Amino acid sequence: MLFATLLFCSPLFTIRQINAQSNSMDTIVGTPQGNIPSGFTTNDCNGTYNLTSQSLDSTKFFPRYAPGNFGDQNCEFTRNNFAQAKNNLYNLIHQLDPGYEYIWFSVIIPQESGYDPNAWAPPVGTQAQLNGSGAWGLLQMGSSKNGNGQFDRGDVNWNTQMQNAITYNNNLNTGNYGGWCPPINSYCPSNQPVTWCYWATARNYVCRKK
Amino acid sequence: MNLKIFLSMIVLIVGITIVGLLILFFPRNTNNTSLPYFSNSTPTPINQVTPPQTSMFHDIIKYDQQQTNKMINTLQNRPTIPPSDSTVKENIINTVANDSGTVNSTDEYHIDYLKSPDIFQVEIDTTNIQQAKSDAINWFKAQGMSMDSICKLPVTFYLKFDIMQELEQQGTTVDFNPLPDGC
Repeated sequence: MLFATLLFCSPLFTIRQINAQSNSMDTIVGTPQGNIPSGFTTNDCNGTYNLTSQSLDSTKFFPRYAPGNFGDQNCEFTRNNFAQAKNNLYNLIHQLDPGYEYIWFSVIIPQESGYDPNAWAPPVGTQAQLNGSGAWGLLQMGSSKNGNGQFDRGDVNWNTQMQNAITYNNNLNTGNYGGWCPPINSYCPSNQPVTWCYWATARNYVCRKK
Repeated sequence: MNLKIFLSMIVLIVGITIVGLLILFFPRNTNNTSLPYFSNSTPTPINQVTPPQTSMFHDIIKYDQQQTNKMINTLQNRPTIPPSDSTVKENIINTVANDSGTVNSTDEYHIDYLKSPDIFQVEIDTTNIQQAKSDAINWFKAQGMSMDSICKLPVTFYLKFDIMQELEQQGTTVDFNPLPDGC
């Protein structure tokens, strides 16, 4: 009888387990497939991040708990180390985009995410029209799902989020991503692809064009 | 007797198989999982250019543009502060061993000093923004810093992500000044 139980049940439960894991990943990263953040973890960094939602109603995503720890995979932004982490973020920006440190660091990031590398805006309301998988990370950018180029990716670790944002922003000069910059202020040429157009929080303060 | 045992085993095996198949194919009750799902999300076609991104909180939390410009200008062109206030600043920074660290915390705010940009940032952790700002400024004053130097350091404010969400959920529109009021 034991033999029979093992014979018939083990494969079934093994398949069930694989199926469950597959469903779980789809559940976490959204549907359809194709939006699996690299290095995605379930580590909440000793309670720093609320990674689960009590509400499963897709129209009620409050509070906006991130679907996983994608942005702080080494738990560098815990409260005890938060100042040091922000300092490291500033240093990275200074290295990658000198001259624009304070636009990124003191204008865009605090307004978009409050320096939360796991900040996530769900695909409901306005955000649903912008990106079907939500807005991700420090700069509230896209994910692998939205197909807006390899650098419109916020669903990665914080340093890569920053690198992606700066690269994406610089690429806007070439018009690679379309010509949708609206005439927010007099410094930006109307309807031309220029940098900083991605972030409404930045458009009012800086505009540059090669 | 042997036939009876054989038939019992057959029934048992068939039963186990049916139970196994039910477990395998029966849909999960998603209400028991604590993970969010986006079954209603609409995939964006590949190669479609995303429209301009807008801040999720742009309509709710309105940053004062004039004060933000002033903040940027102060950050890029640091005014000098009097020697007495420089000493106060040094004393504050010494509490974090002259490195980046949190110099003061309450339930409503955290004051961080960041060494590389040489700035003080106040993270507001409550929806009672004005009270938190006022209390944080009073802490600097209690250390001996003059209001003029608090403006020149500069001390800047931002909202924690959770607070931004809470304000949006409440539908409360906030005019937010990233600098201390009066600067």
